[in-house]
Amino acid sequence: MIDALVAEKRPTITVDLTDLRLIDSSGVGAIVSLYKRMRALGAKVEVVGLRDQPLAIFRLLRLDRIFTV
Amino acid sequence: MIHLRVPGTLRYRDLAVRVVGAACKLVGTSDEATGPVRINSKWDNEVISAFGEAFNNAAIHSYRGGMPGDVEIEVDVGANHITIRLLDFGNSFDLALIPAPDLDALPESGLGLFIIRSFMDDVKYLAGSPNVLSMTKYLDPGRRPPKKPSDSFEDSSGGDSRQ
Repeated sequence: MIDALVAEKRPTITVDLTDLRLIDSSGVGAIVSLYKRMRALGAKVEVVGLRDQPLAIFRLLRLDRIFTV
Repeated sequence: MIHLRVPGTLRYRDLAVRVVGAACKLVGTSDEATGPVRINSKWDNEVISAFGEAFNNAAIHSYRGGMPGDVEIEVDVGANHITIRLLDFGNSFDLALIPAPDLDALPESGLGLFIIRSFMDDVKYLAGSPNVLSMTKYLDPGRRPPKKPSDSFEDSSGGDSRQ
């Protein structure tokens, strides 16, 4: 799925996690991978809707430096 | 003590996480209570996060390269703590050899043990058959009991590098 998203060459991809209750390190890794690949193309990834457990994980991993949470 | 034994595959992860999540809500409640009364979703979420990573490690790493075996989960619920012991019968690892991730480098893997260590107050691993990962979290870490010498194992010999 990430390959397909990157191949679309959009200027911005928004990842909406509003309905996500639980995320693990594999899920975070997939989002970070998407972010890195998009950044290499000069594009952006935005993450919206973070709360509760996913928000705690993003803060722990200091991803709030690169995503607005 | 709550016991659960499930196949060590990701198919059973959600079931095991739900059991641990329900157990979290019993921490700090009395035996006479008819149902969970404590609400501390942040604390619960940290336990659930750590346990989920531990289950992933057992399913993905311990049983890598072979037939998946079972994972046994033991949950001890107390007035001020939850202790989760996760037993698997697969490959061992060496906790001491796994470095903390470089978060500045935006790692895409190798974060599981970091999450476990960050969210739980005590983490111990004993390699063997079974491998035993024991993790405890206190509602009030200031009231945790003093450590005993027998609590000092944090690692044993091991094999693969775990995430």
